[in-house]
Amino acid sequence: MARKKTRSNPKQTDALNTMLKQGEREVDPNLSTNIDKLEGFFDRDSDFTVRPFKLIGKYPAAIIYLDSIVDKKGINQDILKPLMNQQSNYSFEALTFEQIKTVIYEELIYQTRGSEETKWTSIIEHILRGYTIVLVDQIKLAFAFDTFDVAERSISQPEAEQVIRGPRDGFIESLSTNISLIRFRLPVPSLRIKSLKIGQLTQSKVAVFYLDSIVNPSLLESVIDRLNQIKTDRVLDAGYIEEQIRDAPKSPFPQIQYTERPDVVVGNLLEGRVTIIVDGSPFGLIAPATITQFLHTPEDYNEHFLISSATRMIRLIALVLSLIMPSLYLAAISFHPELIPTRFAIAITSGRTGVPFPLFLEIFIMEIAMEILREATIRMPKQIGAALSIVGVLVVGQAAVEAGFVSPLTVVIIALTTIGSFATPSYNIAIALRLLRFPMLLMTTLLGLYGFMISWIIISNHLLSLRSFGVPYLQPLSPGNWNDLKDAIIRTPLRWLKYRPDALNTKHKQRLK
Amino acid sequence: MKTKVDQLTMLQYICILVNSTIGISVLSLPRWGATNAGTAGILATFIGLVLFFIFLMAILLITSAYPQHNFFEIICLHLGKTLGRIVTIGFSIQYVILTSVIIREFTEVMATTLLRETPVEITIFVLVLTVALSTQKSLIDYGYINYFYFPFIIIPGLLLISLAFPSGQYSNILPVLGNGITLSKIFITSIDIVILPFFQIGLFTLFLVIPNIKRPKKALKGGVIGWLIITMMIMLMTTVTYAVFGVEQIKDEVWPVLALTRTIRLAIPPLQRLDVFFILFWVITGFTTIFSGYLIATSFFAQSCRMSHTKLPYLFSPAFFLIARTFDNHVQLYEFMQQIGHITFAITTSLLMILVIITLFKKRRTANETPQ
Repeated sequence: MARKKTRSNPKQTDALNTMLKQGEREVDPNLSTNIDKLEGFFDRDSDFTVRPFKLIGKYPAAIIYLDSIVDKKGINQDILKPLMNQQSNYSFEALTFEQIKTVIYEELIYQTRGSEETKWTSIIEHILRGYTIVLVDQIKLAFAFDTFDVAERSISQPEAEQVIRGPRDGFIESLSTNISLIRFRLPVPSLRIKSLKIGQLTQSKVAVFYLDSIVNPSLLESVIDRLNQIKTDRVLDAGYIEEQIRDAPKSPFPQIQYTERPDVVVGNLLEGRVTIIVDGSPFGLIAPATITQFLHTPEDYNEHFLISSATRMIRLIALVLSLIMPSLYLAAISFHPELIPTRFAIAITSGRTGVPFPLFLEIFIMEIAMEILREATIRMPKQIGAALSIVGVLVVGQAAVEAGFVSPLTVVIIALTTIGSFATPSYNIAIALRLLRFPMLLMTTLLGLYGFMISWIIISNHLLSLRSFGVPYLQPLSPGNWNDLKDAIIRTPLRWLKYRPDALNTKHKQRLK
Repeated sequence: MKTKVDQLTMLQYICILVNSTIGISVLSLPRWGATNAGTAGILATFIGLVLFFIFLMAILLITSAYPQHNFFEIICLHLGKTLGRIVTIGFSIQYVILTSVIIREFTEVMATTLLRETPVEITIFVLVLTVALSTQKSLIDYGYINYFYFPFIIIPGLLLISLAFPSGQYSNILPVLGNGITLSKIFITSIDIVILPFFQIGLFTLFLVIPNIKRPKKALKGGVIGWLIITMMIMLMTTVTYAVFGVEQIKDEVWPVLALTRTIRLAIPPLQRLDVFFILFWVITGFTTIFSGYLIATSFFAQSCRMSHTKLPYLFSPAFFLIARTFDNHVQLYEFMQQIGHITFAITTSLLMILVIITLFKKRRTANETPQ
């Protein structure tokens, strides 16, 4: 039988200690005193349940649990039934204290995980985590058995990271299920799962996954260190952690990758990265992350390498275009019309005749309209979303052009920009570049192509100075690395990928021994 | 103790050297030779580059004796603390002036190509601010930035050369030795070329890079490779410009290489005017040179105060801005560039000569002291 000691939170312990008077921190031999104390603490919460019974028909006892988070069937079958069994020929009078403990623990109860508790603080914490407490009269001890059970949704395909060819399972909110999804793909003894509790009030379980035989110890150390330094009262999702452990919190660029897919996590663990999963969140955080990782999808490794390489390049182009397209368009039309060939120029000017705004205002209005449309479609239920996109297309697209409100070319450019940002597999990096498009547009409005180039330089310099857990963000583009380039912008055949990324400084560089 | 990650690789070092040296001034480079030496300008440019190589070797010799020491520490070791501090601050000021001149040259190019109606003050202000923003970053980021921009500088340059090459005429570059020009005149022209601020900036980046390089023993190799790339680029660009335009037309152009981009034309419709695209890349080229100059100025000052350059990026920006905006036009600018170039070149040469002599003496002494 596995016995697990749960560490209690010092702050909560303090609060409890003041509630419980001095000298009453431990379980009393009297059953009714104990029950009173717990009832006082939980203050008649609707799901707080005390179920008195007679142990093997003779001795007064009680089980205590919160019925909203326990498996009642399990309690009936595996705790109450054996304890109340009158056919049992035990006579506790003849047994010592130690022996009673052993009998209940080792012979009567069918539960995999349990422990003996004497301190009230720890008993209360166990109740709150879905344990069932067994109290027996005249025994100065409480038995805690894990009967935790809450409703989970079933494993489904990740909404945000869909693939055509690839596994269909995604993480769910339950940490133990997520662990099982990873274990199932990675049945190796060196997979380590380090558990932490973060959040002064929520006490959220956070699991750090890594492969002991591969991971760079200093990377692991800095991940654990940063996790331990988090000061917060709550961790409701992975994002709460991500923001507090990233290298440059002010940068709009994501420095930690997130994923809903166990196969992505396993792939990254095998390359020597560390994954963090928070109980209650269907997202795993992968650290460190470099910019090229955000352009990868799990499908890249399933398709032929030429096709994967081509699609990766398309994604990169789409990402860059989503940043620079409106600015380039503005610069070409407003500042450098000489760049445009005559035939195009005629088409553009005829499209723009009657448009009341200067071009930059036109682009700004359209960009903001597009952002509103995008934001609205995300929040809408699917059925209304479809209607909304029709309205968006008709109103913003056609009607605005027909009304002479915007020029057709502007609509084309803005549409391409928006689609370009959706072509990026990672939403967080796409949104960062969408945001940076506005300052770039402003600089171009003021200074033309020069302003465009200056903002480009500022953005690239920022990217070049970013680090994710010490790994340069633009690795392997700069600082260059031939080995890592094989799986960055392009994806070379799998048999060429003999080494793990150099940037991660793993224990064993070679994938195969 | 510096870890492996905090140090520059040889490739980054080469990129820094090349990017800092090839700057916006390359646009005007063929003019200096053509005005003073005619067709012998190509030869003069080459001699200038050889002189540049000699200076490069001198710095490599000085730093090789103390690979872990920065400029200020080396000067202090040779000349004493007080004099060392004065010299270092003096050089810091020198590079403020040289960089400001390049900033102005850059804005002049921008004013004639991209921003015809924008006041130069705004262009200067934005540029100085951008460079100051980048100077906040560490030296290793400086290496990453230069490594990243290297292709953006070399590839457009090679593209320009290869596209302009077919329209060149062999007769335009002949005679190589010039018409009725003495060898000493060619040599003076080459000095006029090597004093240009961008050469001086490229040269002194070595003082920043070598103390932070991963393998100081490879500094010599890196320096030679860097010089070869610089020479190849500059010589090809100069020769092609001569071949396309001929001496007389180059004399009329302020920026002959810029004019070269205007002659290129591709048959694909949206790329009929390539000069603007080239200008975009020249912005990067100019930026890397100015960034290096700014970094040299701030680093030298920071070294003499024994602090990190990342703490004072904005301290010098008003100086850069004010010096850069004092000139009325490019004619005045180029006149000043020659004058200041000669002065700073003389100062640099004398300092390097003193340092080389001391280093050689010290080396001989240590060689004698070591038991055979």
